[in-house]
Amino acid sequence: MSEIVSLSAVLWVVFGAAAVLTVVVGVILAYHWLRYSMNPFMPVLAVGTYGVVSFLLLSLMFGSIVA
Amino acid sequence: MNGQIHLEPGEHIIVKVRKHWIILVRDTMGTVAVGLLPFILAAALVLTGHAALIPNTLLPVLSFASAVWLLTIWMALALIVTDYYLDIWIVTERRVYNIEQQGLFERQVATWSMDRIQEITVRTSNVVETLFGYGTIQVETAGPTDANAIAHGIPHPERIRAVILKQIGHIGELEETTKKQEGLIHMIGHEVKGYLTKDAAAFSNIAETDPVPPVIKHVAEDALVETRKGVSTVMNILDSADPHNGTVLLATTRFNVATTLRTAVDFLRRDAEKRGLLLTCDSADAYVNGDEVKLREIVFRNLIDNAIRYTQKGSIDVRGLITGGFIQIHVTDTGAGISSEDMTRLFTEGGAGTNAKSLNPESTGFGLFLAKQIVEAHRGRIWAESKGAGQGATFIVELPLTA
Repeated sequence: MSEIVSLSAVLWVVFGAAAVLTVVVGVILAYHWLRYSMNPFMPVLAVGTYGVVSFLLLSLMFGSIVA
Repeated sequence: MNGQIHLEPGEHIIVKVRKHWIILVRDTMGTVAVGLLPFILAAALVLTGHAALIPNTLLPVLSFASAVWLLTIWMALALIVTDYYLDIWIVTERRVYNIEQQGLFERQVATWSMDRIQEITVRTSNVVETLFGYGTIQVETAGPTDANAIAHGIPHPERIRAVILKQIGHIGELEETTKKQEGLIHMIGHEVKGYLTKDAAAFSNIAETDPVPPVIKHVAEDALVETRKGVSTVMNILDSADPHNGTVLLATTRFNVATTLRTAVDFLRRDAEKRGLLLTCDSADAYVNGDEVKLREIVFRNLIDNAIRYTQKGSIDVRGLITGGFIQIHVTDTGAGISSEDMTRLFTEGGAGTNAKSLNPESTGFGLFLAKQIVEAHRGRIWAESKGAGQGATFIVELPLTA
């Protein structure tokens, strides 16, 4: 029982760290796209794609822990 | 500003080019392969029947690990694509920019003026480059070799080379045309000045001859004033050609700005009094190295004369203030003021203000442009301050003091 609890805790910690890292990297990338892109459409597309894919992968991680 | 590139007024982007897409494929291929490796191994386990050995309790953990792995690969890919997307070569009419994004926090922008570029070298090195039509392009200047002057993976580099060489050719043609035009302006200016000077002499003789019928005398005096203005305008235009090329000739001496200001003010005092304006002058002794005549005639007198012309009632104050190693000459009036629209083109060629037609019909729009050129040739600054139309204005000239 305690093994399951500790494994679950580790997974949650990894999930939290991954989520924070994803957001931090996303903010940094978004800053670069918005600041340096010469095409105003590209930052929107890039932020959107990064956000959607990251959200799906984080959801997959979340689902794995809950399951 | 264009993606953090500061283009000069009138400068336009002709070509904007990123590295060939095959470079992006090459850079991402390794990451994608590493990313897929665990899944290929998992597929191999399933196909060889070893998957059954994995306990069911471990499946959610494996699923979680897969998601973490995919997320890591996804972030790595995002970084690579960003790096690729932000690397760019830009060619404008005047310059070539090479922007290199190195990682997330290092960004280099190298710029070469067209007039500095001596040669553009293009190289296609191998089968892949030949097949996909990309290669290396290098800018060569008269200076030492610049590491940033080489860009790899540029699609159709020979086309970019052709565009740059065409622009260099255009600049050469423009310089030649400008030289011819300036020569023409000088020639016409000198011709016109010659005729106007003869007219001025003739009118002066008529005006000074006694007895002359009062009507003729009056007409001659008016014509003389107008002709002298014409001579002054032509002289302004002729003077403007040299500073425009950055080759203004200054007869530099050490002189006291206070004395020069008083001379300029005394010269224009009658004009101010005729218009019922109070003209005051106060300056501390301040010595500068410079061309006293050009500063007095083209800068100070011009500013005071403008202040008189644009002030219908009130006063004009000319003040010399020492601040640090500089003297600031403030010419303050209570006149028409300067609108924010006029302020932007105040010191530009032909930049006469909106009030010029009614208040200063003789304005050629060159006076302040010339004054700026002369002040800057003395390593000084000139600017104007005004709260707006009808609020008066202050023109400030700042010149470095000498010991």
